[in-house]
Amino acid sequence: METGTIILLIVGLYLLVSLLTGIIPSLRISKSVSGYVAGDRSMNVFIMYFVLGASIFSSFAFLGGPGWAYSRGAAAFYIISYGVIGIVPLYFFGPRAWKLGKKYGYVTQAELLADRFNSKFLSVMLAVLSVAAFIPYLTLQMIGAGYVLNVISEGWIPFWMGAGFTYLVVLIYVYFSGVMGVGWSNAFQGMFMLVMAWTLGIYLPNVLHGGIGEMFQKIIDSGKADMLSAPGLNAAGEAWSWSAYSSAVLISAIGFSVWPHFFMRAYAAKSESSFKLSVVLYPTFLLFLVPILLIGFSAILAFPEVDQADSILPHVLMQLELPAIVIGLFCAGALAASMSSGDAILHSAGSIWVRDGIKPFFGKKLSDSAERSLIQISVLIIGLIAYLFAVVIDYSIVALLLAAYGGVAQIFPVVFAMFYWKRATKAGALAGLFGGIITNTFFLIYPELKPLDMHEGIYGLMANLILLITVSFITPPDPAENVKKFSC
Amino acid sequence: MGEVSSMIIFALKTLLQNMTKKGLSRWIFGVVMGLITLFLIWPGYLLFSAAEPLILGFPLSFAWVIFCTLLGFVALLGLYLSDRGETKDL
Repeated sequence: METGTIILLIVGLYLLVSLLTGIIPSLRISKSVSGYVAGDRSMNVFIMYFVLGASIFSSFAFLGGPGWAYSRGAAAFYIISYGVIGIVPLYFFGPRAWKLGKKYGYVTQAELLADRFNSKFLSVMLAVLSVAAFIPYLTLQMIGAGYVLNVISEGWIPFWMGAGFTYLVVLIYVYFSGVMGVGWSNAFQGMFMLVMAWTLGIYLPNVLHGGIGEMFQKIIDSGKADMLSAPGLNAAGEAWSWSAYSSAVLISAIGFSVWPHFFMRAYAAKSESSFKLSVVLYPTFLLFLVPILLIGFSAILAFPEVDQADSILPHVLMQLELPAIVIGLFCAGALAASMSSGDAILHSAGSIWVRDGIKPFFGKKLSDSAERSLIQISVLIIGLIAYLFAVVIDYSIVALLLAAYGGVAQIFPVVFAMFYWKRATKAGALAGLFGGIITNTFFLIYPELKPLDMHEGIYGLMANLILLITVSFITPPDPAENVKKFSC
Repeated sequence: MGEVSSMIIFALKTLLQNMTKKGLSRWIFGVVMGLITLFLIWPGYLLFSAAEPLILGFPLSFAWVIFCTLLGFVALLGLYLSDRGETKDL
Protein backbone atom coordinates (compact mmCIF):
# COMPACT_ATOMS: atom_id res chain seq x y z
CA MET A 1 0.00 0.00 0.00
CA GLU A 2 1.16 3.53 -0.69
CA THR A 3 2.50 5.65 2.15
CA GLY A 4 -0.16 8.34 1.70
CA THR A 5 -2.99 5.82 1.78
CA ILE A 6 -1.72 4.20 5.00
CA ILE A 7 -1.44 7.59 6.74
CA LEU A 8 -4.93 8.59 5.61
CA LEU A 9 -6.37 5.27 6.76
CA ILE A 10 -4.89 5.66 10.24
CA VAL A 11 -6.05 9.26 10.55
CA GLY A 12 -9.51 8.30 9.26
CA LEU A 13 -9.75 5.46 11.75
CA TYR A 14 -8.68 7.74 14.57
CA LEU A 15 -11.32 10.34 13.63
CA LEU A 16 -14.00 7.65 13.46
CA VAL A 17 -13.16 6.34 16.95
CA SER A 18 -13.14 9.92 18.27
CA LEU A 19 -16.55 10.53 16.76
CA LEU A 20 -18.00 7.34 18.24
CA THR A 21 -16.55 7.86 21.71
CA GLY A 22 -17.91 11.40 21.53
CA ILE A 23 -21.43 10.53 20.35
CA ILE A 24 -22.25 7.43 22.40
CA PRO A 25 -22.33 9.12 25.85
CA SER A 26 -25.14 11.43 24.67
CA LEU A 27 -27.48 8.45 24.90
CA ARG A 28 -27.07 8.25 28.66
CA ILE A 29 -27.28 11.92 29.65
CA SER A 30 -30.47 13.87 30.31
CA LYS A 31 -31.64 16.40 27.74
CA SER A 32 -31.37 19.24 30.28
CA VAL A 33 -28.92 22.15 30.45
CA SER A 34 -27.27 20.51 33.45
CA GLY A 35 -26.85 17.34 31.38
CA TYR A 36 -25.30 19.21 28.48
CA VAL A 37 -23.06 21.55 30.46
CA ALA A 38 -22.21 19.55 33.60
CA GLY A 39 -22.94 15.97 32.49
CA ASP A 40 -25.61 15.60 35.24
CA ARG A 41 -22.68 15.81 37.70
CA SER A 42 -21.69 12.22 37.00
CA MET A 43 -18.03 12.17 35.86
CA ASN A 44 -15.83 9.60 37.59
CA VAL A 45 -12.11 9.88 38.34
CA PHE A 46 -11.04 8.12 35.15
CA ILE A 47 -12.84 10.54 32.82
CA MET A 48 -12.08 13.59 34.96
CA TYR A 49 -8.36 12.73 34.95
CA PHE A 50 -8.28 12.88 31.15
CA VAL A 51 -10.55 15.93 30.99
CA LEU A 52 -8.21 17.87 33.26
CA GLY A 53 -5.11 16.52 31.54
CA ALA A 54 -6.01 16.45 27.88
CA SER A 55 -7.97 19.68 27.68
CA ILE A 56 -4.89 21.60 28.83
CA PHE A 57 -2.47 19.98 26.42
CA SER A 58 -3.39 21.44 23.09
CA SER A 59 -1.76 21.70 19.68
CA PHE A 60 0.82 23.66 21.59
CA ALA A 61 2.00 20.48 23.30
CA PHE A 62 2.89 18.64 20.09
CA LEU A 63 4.07 21.65 18.07
CA GLY A 64 4.95 24.52 20.41
CA GLY A 65 6.50 22.44 23.23
CA PRO A 66 9.23 20.82 21.12
CA GLY A 67 9.62 24.20 19.36
CA TRP A 68 10.41 25.91 22.66
CA ALA A 69 12.93 23.25 23.71
CA TYR A 70 14.54 23.41 20.26
CA SER A 71 14.90 27.18 20.06
CA ARG A 72 14.91 28.34 23.72
CA GLY A 73 16.28 25.36 25.67
CA ALA A 74 15.69 25.44 29.42
CA ALA A 75 13.10 28.23 29.03
CA ALA A 76 10.70 25.44 28.07
CA PHE A 77 10.83 23.99 31.61
CA TYR A 78 8.48 26.76 32.66
CA ILE A 79 5.62 24.85 31.03
CA ILE A 80 6.12 21.95 33.48
CA SER A 81 6.79 24.18 36.50
CA TYR A 82 3.65 26.26 36.34
CA GLY A 83 1.39 23.21 35.99
CA VAL A 84 2.41 21.62 39.26
CA ILE A 85 1.97 24.91 41.14
CA GLY A 86 -1.13 26.02 39.27
CA ILE A 87 -3.20 22.90 39.89
CA VAL A 88 -3.08 23.29 43.69
CA PRO A 89 -5.77 26.00 44.11
CA LEU A 90 -8.19 23.78 42.21
CA TYR A 91 -7.92 21.21 45.00
CA PHE A 92 -9.48 23.78 47.33
CA PHE A 93 -11.77 25.69 44.92
CA GLY A 94 -13.15 22.64 43.12
CA PRO A 95 -14.97 20.90 46.00
CA ARG A 96 -16.48 24.21 47.16
CA ALA A 97 -17.72 25.01 43.67
CA TRP A 98 -19.06 21.45 43.38
CA LYS A 99 -21.00 21.66 46.66
CA LEU A 100 -22.52 25.03 45.80
CA GLY A 101 -23.28 23.86 42.27
CA LYS A 102 -25.14 20.81 43.53
CA LYS A 103 -27.12 22.89 46.00
CA TYR A 104 -27.98 25.89 43.83
CA GLY A 105 -27.68 24.49 40.29
CA TYR A 106 -24.62 26.44 39.09
CA VAL A 107 -22.80 25.13 36.03
CA THR A 108 -20.34 27.94 35.23
CA GLN A 109 -17.73 29.97 37.11
CA ALA A 110 -19.40 33.35 36.45
CA GLU A 111 -22.69 32.13 37.98
CA LEU A 112 -20.94 31.62 41.31
CA LEU A 113 -19.26 35.02 41.19
CA ALA A 114 -22.35 36.87 39.97
CA ASP A 115 -24.40 35.37 42.80
CA ARG A 116 -21.90 36.05 45.56
CA PHE A 117 -21.35 39.64 44.46
CA ASN A 118 -24.96 40.10 43.31
CA SER A 119 -23.96 41.53 39.92
CA LYS A 120 -25.34 40.65 36.50
CA PHE A 121 -22.78 43.00 35.05
CA LEU A 122 -19.96 40.84 36.44
CA SER A 123 -21.49 37.79 34.79
CA VAL A 124 -21.78 39.47 31.38
CA MET A 125 -18.28 40.89 31.66
CA LEU A 126 -16.83 37.46 32.41
CA ALA A 127 -18.76 35.95 29.50
CA VAL A 128 -17.28 38.53 27.13
CA LEU A 129 -13.76 38.02 28.54
CA SER A 130 -14.09 34.23 28.23
CA VAL A 131 -15.35 34.22 24.67
CA ALA A 132 -12.70 36.78 23.67
CA ALA A 133 -10.07 34.39 25.05
CA PHE A 134 -11.68 31.21 23.69
CA ILE A 135 -12.08 32.16 20.04
CA PRO A 136 -8.35 32.76 19.36
CA TYR A 137 -7.54 29.68 21.44
CA LEU A 138 -9.89 27.58 19.33
CA THR A 139 -8.56 29.13 16.13
CA LEU A 140 -5.03 28.10 17.07
CA GLN A 141 -6.19 24.51 17.63
CA MET A 142 -7.74 24.47 14.16
CA ILE A 143 -4.59 25.95 12.63
CA GLY A 144 -2.57 23.21 14.37
CA ALA A 145 -4.76 20.45 12.95
CA GLY A 146 -4.82 21.90 9.43
CA TYR A 147 -1.09 22.48 9.50
CA VAL A 148 -0.13 18.96 10.58
CA LEU A 149 -2.30 17.30 7.95
CA ASN A 150 -1.00 19.68 5.29
CA VAL A 151 2.70 19.11 6.08
CA ILE A 152 2.47 15.35 6.50
CA SER A 153 0.47 14.88 3.29
CA GLU A 154 3.10 17.06 1.56
CA GLY A 155 0.48 19.59 0.57
CA TRP A 156 -1.93 17.01 -0.78
CA ILE A 157 -4.54 17.85 1.86
CA PRO A 158 -5.13 21.62 1.70
CA PHE A 159 -5.06 23.49 4.98
CA TRP A 160 -8.74 24.51 4.91
CA MET A 161 -9.81 20.91 4.32
CA GLY A 162 -7.67 19.42 7.11
CA ALA A 163 -8.82 21.95 9.68
CA GLY A 164 -12.42 21.85 8.41
CA PHE A 165 -12.84 18.09 8.40
CA THR A 166 -11.20 17.56 11.81
CA TYR A 167 -13.36 20.22 13.42
CA LEU A 168 -16.51 19.00 11.72
CA VAL A 169 -16.02 15.80 13.72
CA VAL A 170 -15.50 17.83 16.91
CA LEU A 171 -18.53 20.00 16.18
CA ILE A 172 -20.76 16.94 15.70
CA TYR A 173 -19.94 15.30 19.01
CA VAL A 174 -19.88 18.53 21.01
CA TYR A 175 -23.25 19.52 19.48
CA PHE A 176 -24.94 16.25 20.38
CA SER A 177 -23.22 15.10 23.57
CA GLY A 178 -22.05 18.21 25.39
CA VAL A 179 -19.54 17.73 28.15
CA MET A 180 -19.84 13.94 28.33
CA GLY A 181 -18.84 13.72 24.68
CA VAL A 182 -15.88 15.93 25.49
CA GLY A 183 -15.06 13.69 28.47
CA TRP A 184 -15.13 10.31 26.74
CA SER A 185 -13.39 11.48 23.59
CA ASN A 186 -10.74 13.17 25.76
CA ALA A 187 -10.12 9.88 27.56
CA PHE A 188 -9.46 8.19 24.23
CA GLN A 189 -7.46 11.12 22.82
CA GLY A 190 -5.51 11.55 26.08
CA MET A 191 -4.36 7.93 26.19
CA PHE A 192 -3.39 8.16 22.55
CA MET A 193 -1.36 11.34 23.14
CA LEU A 194 0.42 9.87 26.16
CA VAL A 195 1.51 6.78 24.26
CA MET A 196 2.64 8.75 21.21
CA ALA A 197 4.57 11.33 23.27
CA TRP A 198 6.46 8.76 25.33
CA THR A 199 7.20 6.61 22.29
CA LEU A 200 8.57 9.50 20.21
CA GLY A 201 10.31 11.15 23.17
CA ILE A 202 12.33 8.04 23.89
CA TYR A 203 12.71 6.87 20.29
CA LEU A 204 14.06 10.10 18.74
CA PRO A 205 16.97 10.75 21.20
CA ASN A 206 17.92 7.09 20.81
CA VAL A 207 17.88 6.94 17.05
CA LEU A 208 19.51 10.38 16.58
CA HIS A 209 22.04 10.36 19.43
CA GLY A 210 22.17 6.88 21.01
CA GLY A 211 20.32 7.82 24.21
CA ILE A 212 19.00 10.68 26.35
CA GLY A 213 22.20 11.16 28.40
CA GLU A 214 24.35 11.01 25.26
CA MET A 215 22.12 13.60 23.61
CA PHE A 216 22.47 16.12 26.47
CA GLN A 217 26.23 15.44 26.75
CA LYS A 218 26.62 16.19 23.04
CA ILE A 219 24.68 19.47 23.42
CA ILE A 220 26.95 20.50 26.31
CA ASP A 221 30.13 19.46 24.44
CA SER A 222 29.09 21.46 21.39
CA GLY A 223 29.30 24.66 23.46
CA LYS A 224 25.56 25.06 23.94
CA ALA A 225 25.55 24.40 27.71
CA ASP A 226 24.04 27.88 28.25
CA MET A 227 20.92 26.74 26.52
CA LEU A 228 20.42 23.96 29.06
CA SER A 229 20.96 26.07 32.15
CA ALA A 230 17.86 27.81 33.46
CA PRO A 231 16.22 30.15 32.57
CA GLY A 232 17.34 29.38 28.99
CA LEU A 233 16.99 31.77 26.07
CA ASN A 234 14.41 34.39 25.09
CA ALA A 235 12.66 34.58 21.73
CA ALA A 236 15.62 36.50 20.26
CA GLY A 237 18.07 33.75 21.28
CA GLU A 238 19.72 35.75 24.07
CA ALA A 239 19.82 34.77 27.76
CA TRP A 240 16.32 35.07 29.27
CA SER A 241 16.07 37.15 32.47
CA TRP A 242 15.19 35.53 35.80
CA SER A 243 12.45 38.08 36.41
CA ALA A 244 10.79 37.30 33.08
CA TYR A 245 11.09 33.53 33.63
CA SER A 246 9.82 33.62 37.22
CA SER A 247 6.94 35.95 36.45
CA ALA A 248 5.93 33.80 33.46
CA VAL A 249 5.77 30.75 35.79
CA LEU A 250 3.81 32.68 38.42
CA ILE A 251 1.27 34.34 36.14
CA SER A 252 0.56 31.11 34.27
CA ALA A 253 0.23 29.22 37.57
CA ILE A 254 -2.18 31.81 38.98
CA GLY A 255 -4.29 31.92 35.84
CA PHE A 256 -4.31 28.13 35.43
CA SER A 257 -6.96 27.17 38.01
CA VAL A 258 -9.40 29.95 37.02
CA TRP A 259 -9.53 29.42 33.25
CA PRO A 260 -13.33 29.29 32.94
CA HIS A 261 -13.43 26.06 30.89
CA PHE A 262 -11.12 24.35 33.37
CA PHE A 263 -12.78 25.64 36.55
CA MET A 264 -16.28 24.66 35.44
CA ARG A 265 -15.31 20.98 35.14
CA ALA A 266 -15.59 20.81 38.92
CA TYR A 267 -19.39 20.84 38.48
CA ALA A 268 -19.27 17.76 36.28
CA ALA A 269 -17.60 15.59 38.96
CA LYS A 270 -19.51 12.72 40.52
CA SER A 271 -18.43 13.67 44.03
CA GLU A 272 -16.14 16.00 45.89
CA SER A 273 -13.55 13.32 46.48
CA SER A 274 -13.53 12.10 42.87
CA PHE A 275 -12.69 15.65 41.79
CA LYS A 276 -10.00 15.97 44.45
CA LEU A 277 -8.41 12.70 43.40
CA SER A 278 -8.34 13.79 39.74
CA VAL A 279 -6.52 16.97 40.80
CA VAL A 280 -4.06 14.93 42.89
CA LEU A 281 -3.27 12.69 39.92
CA TYR A 282 -2.81 15.64 37.55
CA PRO A 283 1.01 15.93 37.97
CA THR A 284 1.36 12.39 36.56
CA PHE A 285 -0.24 13.67 33.35
CA LEU A 286 2.01 16.72 33.43
CA LEU A 287 5.10 14.52 33.18
CA PHE A 288 3.98 13.82 29.63
CA LEU A 289 5.69 17.11 28.79
CA VAL A 290 9.06 15.52 29.57
CA PRO A 291 9.17 13.37 26.40
CA ILE A 292 7.62 16.25 24.44
CA LEU A 293 10.57 18.48 25.36
CA LEU A 294 13.03 15.64 24.66
CA ILE A 295 11.74 15.62 21.08
CA GLY A 296 12.75 19.28 20.72
CA PHE A 297 16.15 18.75 22.37
CA SER A 298 16.89 15.82 20.07
CA ALA A 299 16.69 18.13 17.04
CA ILE A 300 19.07 20.86 18.29
CA LEU A 301 22.21 19.22 16.92
CA ALA A 302 20.61 16.89 14.38
CA PHE A 303 18.69 19.60 12.47
CA PRO A 304 20.23 22.95 13.40
CA GLU A 305 18.89 25.04 10.52
CA VAL A 306 15.12 24.96 10.98
CA ASP A 307 13.78 28.53 11.07
CA GLN A 308 10.24 27.84 12.09
CA ALA A 309 10.73 26.22 15.52
CA ASP A 310 7.06 25.18 15.79
CA SER A 311 7.42 22.88 12.80
CA ILE A 312 10.38 21.00 14.27
CA LEU A 313 8.53 17.76 15.05
CA PRO A 314 6.87 17.25 11.64
CA HIS A 315 10.20 18.32 10.10
CA VAL A 316 12.16 15.66 12.00
CA LEU A 317 9.60 12.97 11.20
CA MET A 318 9.69 13.76 7.49
CA GLN A 319 13.51 13.65 7.43
CA LEU A 320 13.85 10.29 9.16
CA GLU A 321 12.02 8.23 6.53
CA LEU A 322 9.99 6.44 9.12
CA PRO A 323 7.46 3.71 8.29
CA ALA A 324 4.13 5.17 7.13
CA ILE A 325 2.37 3.65 10.11
CA VAL A 326 4.49 5.68 12.56
CA ILE A 327 3.86 8.92 10.68
CA GLY A 328 0.14 8.15 10.58
CA LEU A 329 0.08 7.51 14.32
CA PHE A 330 1.96 10.74 14.97
CA CYS A 331 -0.53 12.62 12.83
CA ALA A 332 -3.41 11.17 14.80
CA GLY A 333 -1.59 12.02 18.06
CA ALA A 334 -1.20 15.66 17.01
CA LEU A 335 -4.86 15.79 15.99
CA ALA A 336 -5.79 14.29 19.37
CA ALA A 337 -3.89 17.06 21.13
CA SER A 338 -5.63 19.71 19.05
CA MET A 339 -9.11 18.18 19.33
CA SER A 340 -9.04 17.39 23.05
CA SER A 341 -8.51 21.08 23.80
CA GLY A 342 -10.64 22.36 20.95
CA ASP A 343 -13.71 20.39 22.00
CA ALA A 344 -13.48 21.50 25.64
CA ILE A 345 -13.12 25.15 24.62
CA LEU A 346 -15.89 24.98 22.05
CA HIS A 347 -18.26 23.43 24.56
CA SER A 348 -17.41 25.94 27.29
CA ALA A 349 -17.56 28.93 24.95
CA GLY A 350 -21.12 28.05 23.91
CA SER A 351 -22.22 27.26 27.45
CA ILE A 352 -20.69 30.37 29.01
CA TRP A 353 -21.92 32.68 26.27
CA VAL A 354 -25.55 31.65 26.77
CA ARG A 355 -25.54 30.96 30.49
CA ASP A 356 -23.57 34.02 31.62
CA GLY A 357 -23.86 36.43 28.71
CA ILE A 358 -27.45 36.05 27.45
CA LYS A 359 -29.49 34.38 30.20
CA PRO A 360 -29.13 37.22 32.76
CA PHE A 361 -31.25 39.37 30.42
CA PHE A 362 -34.04 36.82 30.19
CA GLY A 363 -34.29 35.62 33.79
CA LYS A 364 -36.74 32.74 34.21
CA LYS A 365 -38.44 33.41 30.88
CA LEU A 366 -35.92 31.13 29.15
CA SER A 367 -37.04 27.49 29.44
CA ASP A 368 -34.48 24.73 30.07
CA SER A 369 -34.94 23.16 26.63
CA ALA A 370 -34.76 26.54 24.88
CA GLU A 371 -31.57 27.32 26.78
CA ARG A 372 -30.02 24.03 25.77
CA SER A 373 -30.88 24.61 22.10
CA LEU A 374 -29.46 28.11 22.33
CA ILE A 375 -26.19 26.71 23.72
CA GLN A 376 -26.02 24.18 20.89
CA ILE A 377 -26.59 26.91 18.29
CA SER A 378 -23.91 29.06 19.96
CA VAL A 379 -21.48 26.14 19.74
CA LEU A 380 -22.07 26.00 15.97
CA ILE A 381 -21.68 29.76 15.52
CA ILE A 382 -18.53 30.05 17.65
CA GLY A 383 -17.01 27.05 15.84
CA LEU A 384 -17.72 28.73 12.52
CA ILE A 385 -16.23 32.09 13.59
CA ALA A 386 -13.03 30.39 14.82
CA TYR A 387 -12.81 28.43 11.55
CA LEU A 388 -13.12 31.61 9.49
CA PHE A 389 -10.28 33.16 11.51
CA ALA A 390 -8.23 29.98 10.99
CA VAL A 391 -8.67 29.98 7.23
CA VAL A 392 -7.88 33.66 6.90
CA ILE A 393 -4.91 33.12 9.31
CA ASP A 394 -4.48 36.46 10.84
CA TYR A 395 -1.39 36.31 13.02
CA SER A 396 -2.64 39.05 15.31
CA ILE A 397 -4.78 36.29 16.77
CA VAL A 398 -1.72 34.98 18.63
CA ALA A 399 -1.35 38.40 20.25
CA LEU A 400 -4.98 38.25 21.31
CA LEU A 401 -4.36 34.93 23.04
CA LEU A 402 -1.31 36.25 24.86
CA ALA A 403 -3.36 39.19 26.10
CA ALA A 404 -5.99 36.75 27.29
CA TYR A 405 -3.52 34.82 29.46
CA GLY A 406 -2.75 37.86 31.62
CA GLY A 407 -6.43 38.82 31.55
CA VAL A 408 -7.70 35.45 32.76
CA ALA A 409 -5.27 35.50 35.70
CA GLN A 410 -7.12 38.59 36.93
CA ILE A 411 -10.09 36.37 37.83
CA PHE A 412 -8.03 34.60 40.52
CA PRO A 413 -8.20 37.24 43.33
CA VAL A 414 -11.97 37.55 42.90
CA VAL A 415 -12.50 33.78 43.03
CA PHE A 416 -10.24 33.54 46.08
CA ALA A 417 -12.11 36.38 47.83
CA MET A 418 -15.46 34.75 47.02
CA PHE A 419 -14.53 31.63 48.97
CA TYR A 420 -12.23 32.97 51.67
CA TRP A 421 -12.78 36.69 52.30
CA LYS A 422 -16.17 37.59 53.73
CA ARG A 423 -15.49 41.32 53.75
CA ALA A 424 -15.03 41.47 49.94
CA THR A 425 -17.76 43.59 48.34
CA LYS A 426 -19.36 43.91 44.94
CA ALA A 427 -17.66 47.24 44.29
CA GLY A 428 -14.31 45.83 45.39
CA ALA A 429 -14.62 42.80 43.11
CA LEU A 430 -15.60 44.88 40.09
CA ALA A 431 -12.89 47.48 40.72
CA GLY A 432 -10.23 44.78 41.17
CA LEU A 433 -11.19 42.83 38.05
CA PHE A 434 -11.52 45.94 35.89
CA GLY A 435 -8.35 47.57 37.21
CA GLY A 436 -6.40 44.35 36.74
CA ILE A 437 -7.52 43.83 33.16
CA ILE A 438 -6.88 47.47 32.20
CA THR A 439 -3.38 47.46 33.78
CA ASN A 440 -2.54 44.15 32.10
CA THR A 441 -3.68 45.39 28.70
CA PHE A 442 -1.86 48.71 29.15
CA PHE A 443 1.52 47.05 29.76
CA LEU A 444 0.87 44.58 26.96
CA ILE A 445 0.50 47.47 24.52
CA TYR A 446 3.34 49.56 26.03
CA PRO A 447 5.91 47.00 27.26
CA GLU A 448 8.65 49.67 27.30
CA LEU A 449 6.90 51.41 30.22
CA LYS A 450 7.26 48.40 32.55
CA PRO A 451 9.43 49.25 35.59
CA LEU A 452 10.85 45.69 35.63
CA ASP A 453 11.04 43.00 32.94
CA MET A 454 8.10 41.03 34.31
CA HIS A 455 4.95 39.60 32.72
CA GLU A 456 2.28 42.32 32.37
CA GLY A 457 -0.19 40.09 34.22
CA ILE A 458 1.84 40.55 37.42
CA TYR A 459 1.33 44.33 37.22
CA GLY A 460 -2.35 43.68 36.58
CA LEU A 461 -2.52 41.49 39.70
CA MET A 462 -0.89 44.18 41.84
CA ALA A 463 -3.46 46.79 40.74
CA ASN A 464 -6.20 44.18 41.11
CA LEU A 465 -5.30 43.30 44.72
CA ILE A 466 -4.88 46.91 45.83
CA LEU A 467 -8.26 47.87 44.36
CA LEU A 468 -10.06 44.75 45.62
CA ILE A 469 -8.86 45.31 49.18
CA THR A 470 -9.18 49.10 49.49
CA VAL A 471 -12.51 49.45 47.66
CA SER A 472 -13.96 46.55 49.69
CA PHE A 473 -12.97 48.24 52.94
CA ILE A 474 -14.37 51.64 52.04
CA THR A 475 -17.72 50.25 50.84
CA PRO A 476 -20.33 48.75 53.21
CA PRO A 477 -20.21 44.91 53.58
CA ASP A 478 -22.35 42.79 51.23
CA PRO A 479 -25.63 41.35 52.68
CA ALA A 480 -24.78 38.73 55.33
CA GLU A 481 -27.02 35.96 53.94
CA ASN A 482 -25.31 36.19 50.56
CA VAL A 483 -21.84 35.97 52.09
CA LYS A 484 -22.78 33.10 54.40
CA LYS A 485 -24.02 30.99 51.53
CA PHE A 486 -20.50 30.98 50.08
CA SER A 487 -18.35 30.39 53.14
CA CYS A 488 -19.02 26.69 53.41
CA MET B 1 22.65 26.02 72.50
CA GLY B 2 20.83 23.38 74.54
CA GLU B 3 18.43 26.00 75.84
CA VAL B 4 17.56 27.20 72.35
CA SER B 5 16.88 23.72 71.05
CA SER B 6 14.71 22.85 74.05
CA MET B 7 12.74 26.06 73.47
CA ILE B 8 12.22 25.14 69.81
CA ILE B 9 11.08 21.66 70.80
CA PHE B 10 8.69 23.14 73.38
CA ALA B 11 7.26 25.58 70.79
CA LEU B 12 6.75 22.79 68.26
CA LYS B 13 5.10 20.55 70.88
CA THR B 14 2.66 23.30 71.85
CA LEU B 15 1.90 23.99 68.21
CA LEU B 16 1.23 20.30 67.53
CA GLN B 17 -0.97 19.87 70.59
CA ASN B 18 -3.11 22.86 69.70
CA MET B 19 -3.64 21.88 66.10
CA THR B 20 -6.23 19.51 64.69
CA LYS B 21 -5.00 16.73 62.45
CA LYS B 22 -6.55 18.47 59.45
CA GLY B 23 -4.97 21.79 60.34
CA LEU B 24 -1.56 20.17 60.69
CA SER B 25 -1.66 18.33 57.38
CA ARG B 26 -2.78 21.52 55.58
CA TRP B 27 0.00 23.43 57.29
CA ILE B 28 2.65 20.92 56.22
CA PHE B 29 1.22 20.88 52.70
CA GLY B 30 1.32 24.67 52.54
CA VAL B 31 4.98 24.76 53.59
CA VAL B 32 5.98 22.05 51.11
CA MET B 33 4.12 23.68 48.20
CA GLY B 34 5.52 27.09 49.16
CA LEU B 35 9.04 25.68 49.07
CA ILE B 36 8.41 23.95 45.74
CA THR B 37 7.21 27.24 44.25
CA LEU B 38 10.20 29.12 45.60
CA PHE B 39 12.61 26.51 44.26
CA LEU B 40 11.03 26.49 40.80
CA ILE B 41 11.56 30.23 40.29
CA TRP B 42 14.06 32.86 41.38
CA PRO B 43 15.79 32.70 43.86
CA GLY B 44 15.57 28.98 44.82
CA TYR B 45 15.95 27.67 41.27
CA LEU B 46 19.31 29.50 40.99
CA LEU B 47 20.87 26.72 43.05
CA PHE B 48 19.78 24.07 40.56
CA SER B 49 19.87 26.02 37.31
CA ALA B 50 23.14 24.65 35.89
CA ALA B 51 23.26 22.25 32.93
CA GLU B 52 25.72 19.96 34.69
CA PRO B 53 26.03 17.47 36.27
CA LEU B 54 23.77 15.18 34.28
CA ILE B 55 21.44 13.25 36.57
CA LEU B 56 20.20 9.95 35.10
CA GLY B 57 21.07 11.50 31.75
CA PHE B 58 19.11 14.73 32.34
CA PRO B 59 20.72 18.15 32.91
CA LEU B 60 20.48 19.27 36.55
CA SER B 61 18.07 22.09 35.61
CA PHE B 62 15.70 19.61 33.94
CA ALA B 63 16.05 16.85 36.57
CA TRP B 64 15.22 19.40 39.28
CA VAL B 65 11.94 20.41 37.62
CA ILE B 66 10.96 16.75 37.24
CA PHE B 67 11.86 16.09 40.88
CA CYS B 68 9.73 19.05 42.05
CA THR B 69 6.79 17.81 39.97
CA LEU B 70 7.04 14.39 41.61
CA LEU B 71 7.37 16.00 45.04
CA GLY B 72 4.25 18.10 44.32
CA PHE B 73 2.40 14.90 43.43
CA VAL B 74 3.48 13.23 46.69
CA ALA B 75 2.44 16.32 48.69
CA LEU B 76 -1.01 16.40 47.04
CA LEU B 77 -1.43 12.67 47.58
CA GLY B 78 -0.50 13.04 51.25
CA LEU B 79 -3.03 15.84 51.68
CA TYR B 80 -5.73 13.82 49.93
CA LEU B 81 -5.11 10.74 52.07
CA SER B 82 -5.19 12.74 55.29
CA ASP B 83 -8.39 14.56 54.16
CA ARG B 84 -10.00 11.21 53.40
CA GLY B 85 -9.04 9.82 56.80
CA GLU B 86 -10.65 12.88 58.38
CA THR B 87 -13.96 12.43 56.55
CA LYS B 88 -14.12 8.76 57.46
CA ASP B 89 -13.70 9.57 61.13
CA LEU B 90 -16.81 11.73 61.08
